[in-house]
Amino acid sequence: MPSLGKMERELLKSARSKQATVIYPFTKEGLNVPPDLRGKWVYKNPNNCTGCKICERVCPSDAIEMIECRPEDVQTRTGFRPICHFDRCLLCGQCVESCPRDVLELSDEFEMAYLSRDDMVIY
Amino acid sequence: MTSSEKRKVITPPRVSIPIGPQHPALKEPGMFKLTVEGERIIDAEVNIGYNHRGIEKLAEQKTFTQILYLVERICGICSATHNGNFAQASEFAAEVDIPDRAKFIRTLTWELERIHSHILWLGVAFHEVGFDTAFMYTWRDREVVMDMLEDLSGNRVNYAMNTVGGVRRDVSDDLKQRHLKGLDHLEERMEYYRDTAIYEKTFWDRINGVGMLPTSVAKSTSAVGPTARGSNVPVDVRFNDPTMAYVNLRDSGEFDMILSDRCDIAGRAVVRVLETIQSIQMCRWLLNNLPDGPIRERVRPRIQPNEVLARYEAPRGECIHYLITNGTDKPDRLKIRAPTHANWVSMAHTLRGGYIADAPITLAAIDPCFSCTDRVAIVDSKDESMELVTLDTLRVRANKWYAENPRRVA
Amino acid sequence: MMQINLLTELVFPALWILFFPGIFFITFLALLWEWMDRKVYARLQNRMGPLHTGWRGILQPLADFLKLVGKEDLTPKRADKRSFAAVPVIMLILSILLCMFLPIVDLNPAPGVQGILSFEGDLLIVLFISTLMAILIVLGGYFSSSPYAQTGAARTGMLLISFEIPLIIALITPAILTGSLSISTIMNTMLGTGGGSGLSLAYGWLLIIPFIVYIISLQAELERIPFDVSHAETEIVHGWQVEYSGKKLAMIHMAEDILLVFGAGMATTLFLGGPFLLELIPLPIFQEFGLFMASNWFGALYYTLVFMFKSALVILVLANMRTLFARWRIDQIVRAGWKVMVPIALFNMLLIQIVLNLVFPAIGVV
Repeated sequence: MPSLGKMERELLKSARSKQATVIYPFTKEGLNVPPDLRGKWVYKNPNNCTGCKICERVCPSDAIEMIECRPEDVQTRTGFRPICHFDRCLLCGQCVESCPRDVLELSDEFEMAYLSRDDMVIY
Repeated sequence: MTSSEKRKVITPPRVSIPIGPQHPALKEPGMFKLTVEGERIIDAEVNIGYNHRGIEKLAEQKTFTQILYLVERICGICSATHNGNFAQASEFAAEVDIPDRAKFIRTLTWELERIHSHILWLGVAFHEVGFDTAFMYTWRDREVVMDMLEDLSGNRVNYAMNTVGGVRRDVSDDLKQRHLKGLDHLEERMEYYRDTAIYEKTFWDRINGVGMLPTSVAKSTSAVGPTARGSNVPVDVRFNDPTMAYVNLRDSGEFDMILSDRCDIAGRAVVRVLETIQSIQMCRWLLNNLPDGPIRERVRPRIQPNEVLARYEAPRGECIHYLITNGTDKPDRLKIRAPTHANWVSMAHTLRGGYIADAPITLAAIDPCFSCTDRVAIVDSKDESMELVTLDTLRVRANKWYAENPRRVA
Repeated sequence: MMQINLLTELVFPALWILFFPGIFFITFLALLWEWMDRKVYARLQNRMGPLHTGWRGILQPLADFLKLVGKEDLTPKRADKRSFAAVPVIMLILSILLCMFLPIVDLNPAPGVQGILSFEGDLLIVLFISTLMAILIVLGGYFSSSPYAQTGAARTGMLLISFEIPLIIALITPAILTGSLSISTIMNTMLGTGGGSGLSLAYGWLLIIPFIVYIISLQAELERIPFDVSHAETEIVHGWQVEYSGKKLAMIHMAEDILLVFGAGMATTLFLGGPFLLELIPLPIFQEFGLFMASNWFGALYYTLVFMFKSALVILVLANMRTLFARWRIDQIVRAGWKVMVPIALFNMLLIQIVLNLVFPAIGVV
């Protein structure tokens, strides 16, 4: 039944035990990042890309744009390849799932802060 | 002498105190205009609509797969609710039956989400009455279930577990073991809150007998979710109208609807804490009885013309997705009624007659989620007429209003 | 000859008041106690607390203070500007003035340690000023003319009428036991440090209930959980402080911290034996130690450390109370104040009279 100071024992216990705080930017211990995190958008097998544009079509936030292959890129069959405007990406992973050739991947990188939108275009 | 014969009744001046749109007690914008006399609330007025984002309109221009990720972003806390409920609605419309394993995994995500949402609510309730210690503890323990969800789905908040026709990720044996361990830890902690933390006298005094919502009023104002169950109204879609693996859960006979006849905030708190424990047991049951098989069924992107209503018991109450399909890969109309919207009326009732000091906890007691709710047309409070207006009309009206009422300079 | 007079009569007292144990030292203690309070509060909540400014964040209160001083200072248009600005200044001055009465160290401790300000009847002045502080809070709320601030001010008023009385009664109890109204004299008479034999230990038992009453009322006076209704963050944003910003807010926070020093210091002085620790043990070696300290410059250091140690214990208790409870509603507080605290305080007063006049003579306690 209700009484004053019910939690005192718990308080003293937690004062003795290890603190729950994760001092995040200084250490990443205790963050428990799972291996199959849906993190930053990256190319897994860029050579497999055929330029089929499925990823562009399924993207719910219009983050993926097909550009013409530049000379330094892998030349795809249709001559187009996807780039990701990462500022618009919502990390749903639908492009990864829909890709028939296993080209894309959401990596386990989770630190995704940038200073400008231009830095966020992933080629 | 004659003047002193008259008895003078001194009432404190009526002051109107705004709670919101920006207020520390509210995590999201919403406005509650409280008319108070001293510390007593005479009248409460709910003004919402600060968070209108036009999601339903936007949904009409996207494909079903894309809408899954759109509705998920209606609200951060109940992302699996909207995501799963829309997937369910689309499957009803497409008239496909998804594999059992998919059903179980979808339900598991829902129940894990309920655990995290209820623990979050408990922490917020502690915080609203200034019990920051318990707030810190509950949110620390919530990290366990957040990590579990991240482990399961790959993201802490927007799980994106469901797709039309099943789920997107499977549960491996390793994951199952990790989850069972996490659930044990959570159950132990929740039992501590159930037995000890909410019975701290200073906290209990703040929720005991506060914000009364009698059963009859709860019924007449159509309260849903723990708000209604805290007032002894047996509404829980999981038991009344189960879908997915809730059918199996109900048939197992191990779970019953949790009700409280206290009718006050304490009742709602107790219901939520007990439900959390029940959810933990449900998760354990689901993991232990997980059937084998595929996790998704291919559904054609074009769904035949159909009109369906999908119900699901979100952590806050009944969430309804009403979907009209027209044979294309885009819906004709999607209407979402989030639980908070059903609870506004009953909340305004609970606010009246209380103290201002109790206003935050009374507001918080329905676990309001403004971003869930604010997709609503303009409602005129005077004649209760409702109209849908376009942005252009609104703009014209705004310009006219400002021309007539120039901005006051202090 | 003139030179020496100047030194002893002007420079020393000036340093005494300005640096040690005067304004500077009190400010230092205020920041230290705030750090400790926050750290203990955080540790009991399984958190870390301030971490990065100085050793374990010990400079964080100072950094917060400096940051606030540098912030933009806004005054609401409808506020009574001059009074609005005056409240934080007066609060700060009065809180420092209160701390001047605390006997911490003395240039000449042989006749007992005295505060910087000390005269017969200063206990009454202290009680008067501490009530004045509360009225200032009410005024500060009303001058800023915001509904939140006015609600906060009204709540402060309610809080005061319920907890000022137990606080005063608790503080008066030691005065009754010693028959003096001067804080330093009360302390020295009880302990027998300024010559004289001191009161017998039996009197110590009589101080337990007033001490508990005092600690609880102090928590209310400092507006900390569970009595923080007047600036309840989730209810009325920040109560009476809501319109204060920049330098004014910095001053208010500093004044609150100094009041914490004062509150803990009063508990130390009147109930826990002031800056004396080892002398109180009735063994010859410790008596000699006390005499040595009283006649020596080391005494200043020793007394300060003992004072800080005892105050820190009080701060620990206060921080623990802040962690343990939720915030009470104002009507619950008023009820607790009038139905529990005031009767306990009055009953204790009666008890003490009975014990002093009937029991002690009967069992032969002097």
